[in-house]
Amino acid sequence: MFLTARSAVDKIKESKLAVTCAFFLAAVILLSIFVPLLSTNNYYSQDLNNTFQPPLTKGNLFGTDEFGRDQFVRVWQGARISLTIGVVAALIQMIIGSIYGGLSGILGGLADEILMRIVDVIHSIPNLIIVILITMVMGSSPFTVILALSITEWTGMSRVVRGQTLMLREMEFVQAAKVLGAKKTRIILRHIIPNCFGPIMVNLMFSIPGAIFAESFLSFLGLGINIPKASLGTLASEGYRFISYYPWLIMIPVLIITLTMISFNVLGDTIKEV
Amino acid sequence: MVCFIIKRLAFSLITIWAVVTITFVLLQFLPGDPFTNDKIVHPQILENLKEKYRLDAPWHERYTTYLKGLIKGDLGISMVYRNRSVTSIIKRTFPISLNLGIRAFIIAVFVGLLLGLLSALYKNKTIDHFTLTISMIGVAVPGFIIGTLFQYFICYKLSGIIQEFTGTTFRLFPITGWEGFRHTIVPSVSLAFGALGMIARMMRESMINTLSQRYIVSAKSKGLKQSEIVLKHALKNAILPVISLLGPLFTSIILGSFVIENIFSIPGMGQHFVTSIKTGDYTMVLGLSIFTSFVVVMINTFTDILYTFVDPRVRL
Repeated sequence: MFLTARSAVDKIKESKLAVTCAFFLAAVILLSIFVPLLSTNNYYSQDLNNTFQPPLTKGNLFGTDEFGRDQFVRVWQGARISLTIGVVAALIQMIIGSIYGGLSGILGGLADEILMRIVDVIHSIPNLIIVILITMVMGSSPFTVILALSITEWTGMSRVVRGQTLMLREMEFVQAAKVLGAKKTRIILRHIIPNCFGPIMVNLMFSIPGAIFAESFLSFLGLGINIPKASLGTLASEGYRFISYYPWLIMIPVLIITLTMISFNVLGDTIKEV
Repeated sequence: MVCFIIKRLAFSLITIWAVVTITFVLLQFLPGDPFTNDKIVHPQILENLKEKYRLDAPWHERYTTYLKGLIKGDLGISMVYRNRSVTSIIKRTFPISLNLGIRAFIIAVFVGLLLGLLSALYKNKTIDHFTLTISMIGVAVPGFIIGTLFQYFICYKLSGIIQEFTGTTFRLFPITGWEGFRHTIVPSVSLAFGALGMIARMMRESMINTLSQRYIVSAKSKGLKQSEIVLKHALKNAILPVISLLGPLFTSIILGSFVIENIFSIPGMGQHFVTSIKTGDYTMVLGLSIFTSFVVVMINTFTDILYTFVDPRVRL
């Protein structure tokens, strides 16, 4: 497990682009944690004398929005919400997918066949439609968005883990352990799970931006996060209304989403090669 | 072959049934009663409405009537606008969305394949870097961002510059609307962008892979021209993985059209879908969801079957 993590880090170090992306992501994560904590402004207080201030004005690094709310704090608060939704949804998908896929791979036979047919059916339903319906019925909040994304998008992970488990089961060292009399639980815990780690990590690197992507799609449809809180997607779709007069209101969140998504994808691609 | 097609169709039927059942279950959890929201309604009228929507019947009865209605093609009635059925909305708006979707699909396939091919042939050259950048943006940037940026920079800024330059009021790329050919260009390109990126990337990888195969090397050693090798020997095999991607890509284009139609004010099904979400027209959203899922499942089934004709190996 640690060996793969080490070689992934080495692989990232080799490429300048990947290093830049890693630093960018680290910066986004730190800023989204500390800016809302430490700033003297907050994301909800309004200042109606100072609406639509352009960026770099005194006290408002990214300017202010239609209610005079400080855009700098709002953007980083939004990044915090988007990242949280992305990471939590991806982690839950990972847990559901790993358990389901692992179970299917270990059980094998008829059980595997049935479990995988169920995955096939879920996989061929257009996920985003179900996500839209769930958030519409249950009301929009970070919790429902995460719930809806977790229960629809885990099928990819389960296929990866199942494939990996099936492959590992036939590997010589697992066979050797079996011959030496290792119990089934020991084989699963010591041999199968650690060796699934790599593919799971790669899949996770792609499911985080996938979840952020889906969340911003929902925000655009008005099903995302409730006001006055806002994810980056909400900020961008709010800023859209003022695009011809105050373009920075949309451009800054858009720039951050775009670079974050690209960074995740580049890092995912880099790790995949290990 | 016939066996495979029957199996595949049966599978898609199960999928559609699953979608329908999920939507039915969600329908039971709808918040509040749509009839009692704004005004106080006379109890008798409320009764009539409930009877019309069969809200009093036990769930299994409602489920069977729901299924029966769906088989007949009755997707329900709008809850906000009286006398407006889901089917009538689909009839009016779906052709527009289909038109937009097909345009985007054609752009994505042709430009994507071309870029992927050139990128593989001229690896690490300018065209390769250009393609990789485009495909990275296409994969990583959400559709509504691409749509708004295109609208702002091409329809608003660029057309504005052209207007100033020529001194006329002629707008090369109209900002919104769906009237003539000029209106379709920017929305189709923005809708195609994501799929285009994926196709280019897939084509590039698969072409590079194919070109390193032994039969290509032997063709080269026999003295065939590069163009002949690529067009006659490599292209057919390199294109196969891309074909398997077409179904999912068409799905992403259909869902992307929800957003693009809103940005460019195109009166298609996607725009209606989003408006229905915003006005709380639940039955409309559910009906349109079922229809969209049906289209998506059918397209995927069709491309899967098509794929077995193109590549008989998958039947085994």
